[in-house]
Amino acid sequence: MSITSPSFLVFCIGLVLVYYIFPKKARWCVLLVANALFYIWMSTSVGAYILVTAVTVWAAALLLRRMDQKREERIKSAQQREQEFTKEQRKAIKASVKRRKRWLVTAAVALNIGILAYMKYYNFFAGTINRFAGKGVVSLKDLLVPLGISYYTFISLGYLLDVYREKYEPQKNLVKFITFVSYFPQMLQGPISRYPDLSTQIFEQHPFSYERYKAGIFRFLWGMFKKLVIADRVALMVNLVFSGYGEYHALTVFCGALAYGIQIYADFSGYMDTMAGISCILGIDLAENFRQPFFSKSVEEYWRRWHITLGAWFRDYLFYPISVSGPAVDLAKACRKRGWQKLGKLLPSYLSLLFVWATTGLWHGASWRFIFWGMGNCLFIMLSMQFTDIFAKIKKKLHIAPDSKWFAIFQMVRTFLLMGMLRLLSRANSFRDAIGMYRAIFTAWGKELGGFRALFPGLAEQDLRILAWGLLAFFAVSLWQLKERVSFSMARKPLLLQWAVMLAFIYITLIFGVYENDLIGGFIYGQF
Amino acid sequence: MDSSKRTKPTAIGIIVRHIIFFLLFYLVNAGLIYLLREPDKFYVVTAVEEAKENKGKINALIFGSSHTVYGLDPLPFDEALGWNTFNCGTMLQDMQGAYYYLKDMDKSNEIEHVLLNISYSSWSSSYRNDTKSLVILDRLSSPFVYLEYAFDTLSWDALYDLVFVPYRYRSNATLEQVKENVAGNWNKTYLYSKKTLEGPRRPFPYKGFSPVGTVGVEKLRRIPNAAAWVQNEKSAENEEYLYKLLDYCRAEGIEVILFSSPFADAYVMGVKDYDSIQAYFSGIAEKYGVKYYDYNLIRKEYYRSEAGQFWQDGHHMNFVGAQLFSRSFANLLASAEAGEEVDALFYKNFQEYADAYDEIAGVRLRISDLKDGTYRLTKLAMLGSFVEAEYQVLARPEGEEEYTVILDYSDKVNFVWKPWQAGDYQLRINARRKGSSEEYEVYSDVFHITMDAEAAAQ
Repeated sequence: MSITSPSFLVFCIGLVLVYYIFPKKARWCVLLVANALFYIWMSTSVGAYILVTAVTVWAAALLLRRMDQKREERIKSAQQREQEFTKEQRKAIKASVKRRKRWLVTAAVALNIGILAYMKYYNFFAGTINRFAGKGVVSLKDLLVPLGISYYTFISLGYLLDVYREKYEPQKNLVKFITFVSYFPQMLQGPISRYPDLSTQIFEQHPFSYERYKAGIFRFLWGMFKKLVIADRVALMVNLVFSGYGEYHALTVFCGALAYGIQIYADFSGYMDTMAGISCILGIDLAENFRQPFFSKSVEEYWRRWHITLGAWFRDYLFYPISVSGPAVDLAKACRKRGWQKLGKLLPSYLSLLFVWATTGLWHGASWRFIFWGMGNCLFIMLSMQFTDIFAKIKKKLHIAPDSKWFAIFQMVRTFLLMGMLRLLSRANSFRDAIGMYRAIFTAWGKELGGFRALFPGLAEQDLRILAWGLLAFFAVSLWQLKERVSFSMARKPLLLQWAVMLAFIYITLIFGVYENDLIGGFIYGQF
Repeated sequence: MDSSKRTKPTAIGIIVRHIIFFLLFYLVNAGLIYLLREPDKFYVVTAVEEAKENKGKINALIFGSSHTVYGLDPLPFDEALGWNTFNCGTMLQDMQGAYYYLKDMDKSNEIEHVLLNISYSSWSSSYRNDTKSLVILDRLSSPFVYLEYAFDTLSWDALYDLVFVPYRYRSNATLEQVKENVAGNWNKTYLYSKKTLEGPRRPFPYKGFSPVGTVGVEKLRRIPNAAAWVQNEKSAENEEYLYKLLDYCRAEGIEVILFSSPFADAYVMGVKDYDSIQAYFSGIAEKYGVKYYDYNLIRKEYYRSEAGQFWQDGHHMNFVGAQLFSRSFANLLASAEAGEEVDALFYKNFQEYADAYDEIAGVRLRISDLKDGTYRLTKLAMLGSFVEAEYQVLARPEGEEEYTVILDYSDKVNFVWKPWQAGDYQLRINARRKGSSEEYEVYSDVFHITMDAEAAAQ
């Protein structure tokens, strides 16, 4: 079943009907069944992995809580027996529990990261070893990567680490926990939700809200429009340029690389809007994953606006822990001791950034291209951190007001171009092709261009017109979104206007949508 | 006015709004489809109208896929056998479609004879699609059979076309066609009516028969390959519904005649292990005690599909071919009905057919990249057992007009060739009887080679 197929629409309509017919208390059970059906429809043979992750993480979280309880009970019972522990004894008990908790959480994280690494990265590492040690040293395996493994593993581990840090109580009901982990709107491409945000909404009893219902439909339709009319149409051009860049003029290759940035945004955010729309109808708000990333003025800001939940996950569970870890702190101290004050301040952050971005790259795909793409992002962020003062001086010298509108536009365009060029690495068919494309952008100026249309191969004149109007609508809605939640705002407009807009989006998507691709679930981020 | 300031709608109010919105959607949808659909000059429409005109009078039906639509004229059967025949062939028709279509036609007519065209080229399991099912659904008149077939055959994805296309001929107004029409800048394309018919005697389509004009000898000579008959690709579903159809006919007292309409000789000769196909269909016929006539194995002295004149491609007859075949088959059935021995008119097996064949039917070239900048060219001719052929191979760089002979006439089957330089090449192969002085008897020029610079440097 594809998300863009009529079967999925029937599934959603059926789910909404059954969900609201069921008593409020039992609605989460409907969601559990829907999650299972969705998973079976999308992927038939590897459903057991999500259960392994859910059960191990749930059990580990409960054990962590049990350890805390035992520690408290031990102190309490000692108090009841009028036995006082000394400060050292208390400290020792606490340290022993902490040690055991750390062992447990490490084991659970290792198990689940191990499954993820084995299923998704085994062949990558085996291939890398074979490249250096000779062919056939490690045999490659025909592994079927479980659907959404990168997402549900991170969702589950985020929960486990929060319970470990005693941020909230663990979920005692295994079935409820499975419902949370497998919540279908986030299963394929996220968002990587946090337990307290999502579980409260899944298990709380909320009445039917007509306004949310309409807002959900608007968001669903908008998502489908972005995916089918914009992303899949741009894909016609992107696929051609990336597979045959050697035949095109430098400008065409450049446009193709930038077009991929637009494609992946329309594709990913289109999916998010579609799923957030369904979730909104069910009375559950998904975490937002985008905040107009193309309005970013720097690479750093871009990553605060793009795939927000993944960035937040890496920040909370990787960046901060590494930054304040023993070795990082020791290194900073050593630098300061030698008088390198600035370096001492920045080094822990740089090291954490390097690790986070290498992991981010690897998370996106089992290939060196993705690792280099991650490192490229890291490099830009580090450079901007390092040269902040110099940039400020240059701006001052050139009399550029930092809050000037034109300078802001320049920064946005610059960030868009930078990110577009970096994205090329993640989309190219191989590392060799990526290098070839960069080379073509700089060297293939002698080839015959053949007019404006030749900048967009694979797109007929009508496609270009549809894209121009579609992107204009996309831009207008993004501007509107800065002020308010557009779907809710639309849901409060006069009924006839609402219906006219709904019908317009339905027909535009049906008639002008492109319905051919062979991606998992039909979306790019489904591959990650 | 901001609607949030109004009172919240009740549950009934919400349901009423949904109904109104749905009706509105349906109306706009209907209007758009009416405006953007294919024009009504469509063979399905004519076939339905003709079936209506003949309602209650039709007693013989012919089923099959495009080979039947283009290749079987009901008139010769009516004349030779005194039947009132209707051609129920539809594009890509499978046995499931034939079964339901027969049930439907039998409800409004007293069907006595069924001619079922079974072909090896349309027997594979990957043959189903929603559009071809919609074409049959459009022809059905019984709502019960309609629903039964729709639920049995359509995928969920065809739901839109079934539910939201409020138009009698859904196969003519699918979302895909509407999209295509819009994409083509409202440039509507006729599916069949644009094609020129050669010498029509009466308005076509006629009782389901929708012939297509001649395309010429040259095109037939370019037939590159024939579909392989792979035992594993046999569709279990086709078999299941063929048995259902035969059971139905047996229960209703309908006479069934299985047949395979002829393909061009080059096509038949290109099929590997033709006898297993024959055995497969003959076995089914024997099991049910019905007749099976394979017109590919009919003796050349009785019926001969001369290359080019009778074909629009390798396996679809043109108007002339359809006339000749329909008349021949109708006469054969009339002879059989009169008690004459007709089995002797057919070769017993493919070997006997090949032995009697005294020509070269076609020629192909198999190209293997030897990965060292050279290509092995294997020449394959489709010819009679006792015919000896010689071949000439020519090549030209893509874009150039003149061919250069790279191997002059010889009976060598294999030959290794190194292209002159990197680039795309088109290859042509000529074949003639050994010793002939003709420039060529058959040829094929659909072969391409792309040699990259790296290979050329080797």
